[in-house]
Amino acid sequence: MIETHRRLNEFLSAIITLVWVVFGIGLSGVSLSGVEVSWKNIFRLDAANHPFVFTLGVCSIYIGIFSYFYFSRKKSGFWINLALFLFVLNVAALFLAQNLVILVAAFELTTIFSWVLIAASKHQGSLQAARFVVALTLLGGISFLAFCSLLFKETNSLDLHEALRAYRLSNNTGFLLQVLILISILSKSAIFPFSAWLIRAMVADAPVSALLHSATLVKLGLFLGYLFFPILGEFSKQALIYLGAITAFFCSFRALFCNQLKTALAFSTLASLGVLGWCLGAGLIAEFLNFLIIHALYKSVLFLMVGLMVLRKKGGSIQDVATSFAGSEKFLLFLPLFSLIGIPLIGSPVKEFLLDSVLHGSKSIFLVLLNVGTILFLQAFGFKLMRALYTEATPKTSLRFRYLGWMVLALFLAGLVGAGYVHKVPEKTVSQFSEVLTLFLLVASALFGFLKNPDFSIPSAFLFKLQEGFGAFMKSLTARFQNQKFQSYVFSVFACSTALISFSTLNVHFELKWTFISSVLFALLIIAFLGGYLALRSRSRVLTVVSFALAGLSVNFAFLIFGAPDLAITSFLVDLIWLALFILALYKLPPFAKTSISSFKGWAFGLSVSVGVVFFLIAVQPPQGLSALKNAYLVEAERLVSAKNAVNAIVTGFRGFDTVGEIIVLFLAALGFKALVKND
Amino acid sequence: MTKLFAEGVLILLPLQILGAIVFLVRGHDLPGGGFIAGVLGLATFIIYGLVWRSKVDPVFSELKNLSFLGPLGILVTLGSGFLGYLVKGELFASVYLFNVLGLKFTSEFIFDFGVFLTVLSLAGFIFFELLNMELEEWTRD
Repeated sequence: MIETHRRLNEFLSAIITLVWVVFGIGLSGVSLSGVEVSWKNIFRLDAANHPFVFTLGVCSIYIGIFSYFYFSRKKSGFWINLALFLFVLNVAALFLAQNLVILVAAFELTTIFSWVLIAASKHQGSLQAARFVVALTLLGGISFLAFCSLLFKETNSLDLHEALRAYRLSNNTGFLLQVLILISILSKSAIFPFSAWLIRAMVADAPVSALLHSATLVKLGLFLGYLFFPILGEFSKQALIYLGAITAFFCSFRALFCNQLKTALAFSTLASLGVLGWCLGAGLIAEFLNFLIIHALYKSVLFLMVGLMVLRKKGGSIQDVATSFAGSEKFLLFLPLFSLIGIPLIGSPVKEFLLDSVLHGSKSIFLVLLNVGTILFLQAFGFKLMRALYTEATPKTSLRFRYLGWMVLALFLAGLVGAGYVHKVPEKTVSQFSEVLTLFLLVASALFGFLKNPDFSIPSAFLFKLQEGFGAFMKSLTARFQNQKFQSYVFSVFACSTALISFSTLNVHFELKWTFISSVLFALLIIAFLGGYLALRSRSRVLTVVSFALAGLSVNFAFLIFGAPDLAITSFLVDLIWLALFILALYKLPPFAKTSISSFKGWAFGLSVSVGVVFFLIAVQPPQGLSALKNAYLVEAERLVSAKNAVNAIVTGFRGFDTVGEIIVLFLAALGFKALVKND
Repeated sequence: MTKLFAEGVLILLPLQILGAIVFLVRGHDLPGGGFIAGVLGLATFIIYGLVWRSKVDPVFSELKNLSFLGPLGILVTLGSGFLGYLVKGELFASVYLFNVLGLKFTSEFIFDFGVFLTVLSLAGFIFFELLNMELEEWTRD
């Protein structure tokens, strides 16, 4: 029975693979011949999407065949093969779509496929990783949906080209549209700050990674950037340049010093995606397309190389590469590695083009440095893999910090000198300088990658010491916060602030006339003052909390007297809650520390700082004569927000942004609290 | 803690939650609003937590699991701002939706509801986390 089931599984997988491969050959063949095909203005194959469709077709062929051998022995092999083929259809529909609705639907569908394919690997933590990937890429999906809705609203057309034309004619530079498309591009293409998902997605099987995480899925964001390039504003382009450059630099660095082959390849993919984003931002479209195709081809082959190592039951680290492949295979693997290094004809010298464009164009030192670093690290990574094909030697356990320091310093100086140099000399000399620099980087990276065989790891003793030192520092900080100095300071600030507030309120509302209400207010302030004093001077924690609550209560009464019931209710409830929270939190603190500072010094310190604070408060006091503003709020609240409660209208309407900021602060506080409790 | 008080808390619990909702709904025209309602609801749960902590732990952990409402509240708040943009072309512009039994539903109401969710769940999350950290410790001295 099991045997029959297995055979059926293999048979169905074979059929799917056959259909898939034929589809791939068809796609690549049609796109290569340059034919324009159109179906009801919904799908169209034209010069604009030829490169993308071609890449998809070619990658489909060999990934499809590999996937058959990889999955056919597995129980759910047929389903995974089917899902992969459906994913290819989905991406093809996305590339060919000419309609905004189809585009959005296909884009969202890729996220679902991505979740299914990562979760289906059933490796440890694959479900969590799939969730993480979906969470980050869904952000791009939602923003793309919002972008398309806004575009439709502006142009009233669902046809892609029609909408783009209408939007360009309207000369509109909607900032929100720019932000939305930027988020879509960045999140789907895993460019900083959305890079993390690609590394987490590496729990997926090798064919899935080859298809999704090197050839198709990660290119979708960039495809969107390419599609909507005509309406990308200066802001989006600059953001793509800088974020792409940062991603390229840091991820190429991580790739070089990562010992797990698949993770290292993921980091190098991230670096390449950063370079592609940079190209797009700089408007180098021809170079962008060239690198996009070449990268998809060589990176998917390298991922399949990892898959082969898994099938042969070898380990996944770089040291296992040498034992995993036969001589002829090693020779063949040189081809994708040459592409990775960027040898002309086989690879794309796109990074050097970028360097050239920066040196001739913006001449930004920052970009030159990032580019030089990216070229050095990525090429060195390629050389390191070449070396790993032939040597089984384990790398040195750590690269010393000083080497790294010297390298960064040298890079910095090279960039500084280079940027200073290109500012002064004619364009021709700049070109020569760029060529010499490129050659120098090739030699340097070959030496670095081949000879040093670097493996960067921070010694654990160092980390331990760092942690210990931090713990001791935090302990001493807690003790300092509890001693005399801090108490005196808080009390002085409290006293001065209440005095200042009472003075200003009496001045504004009562013009210094002594009435019954003034007496009540004065009494309340005295209670608040005494509450604060008791809270800070007492050695019992319960008394501290209760006295503070007393101070709060008297202030609440003051609010009521001033005719602000909203504030009074809120303040009262908040007082209640923090009373409970304080009681719980104070008992978590260590016992009171013995003070080593004399009382006099403490008071002197507290007074001097609090006098400064009071002067600051006086400086930021609002101007007098605010009654016009008050009346305007009362009138406009009814008219604009249709609310009779002006306080609510201000909080939710006029100052809505502020309130959003406040609740986000609350959210951050909860996060911080969680982190603290976890570390406890 | 007397038994009467503990039972009384249970009876008052739905009433207090109802009170919080009333405060939320009427906040547009009378003293109230999302923040007050959130804090009021939270006070309810805190009293409940302090009284019943040792007796009904499953309910307690259920309450703790509601912390996902915090980020949801922020999203609702931002969404109400976005609604203003879609309808009037301006972020956080006021949009009048409909009127049911004299209660005006506007984009500000949605905003207030988001604030209510955030305050209730995040402040509640902090409180319940604290309360869960060994009870013995805070009754020690």
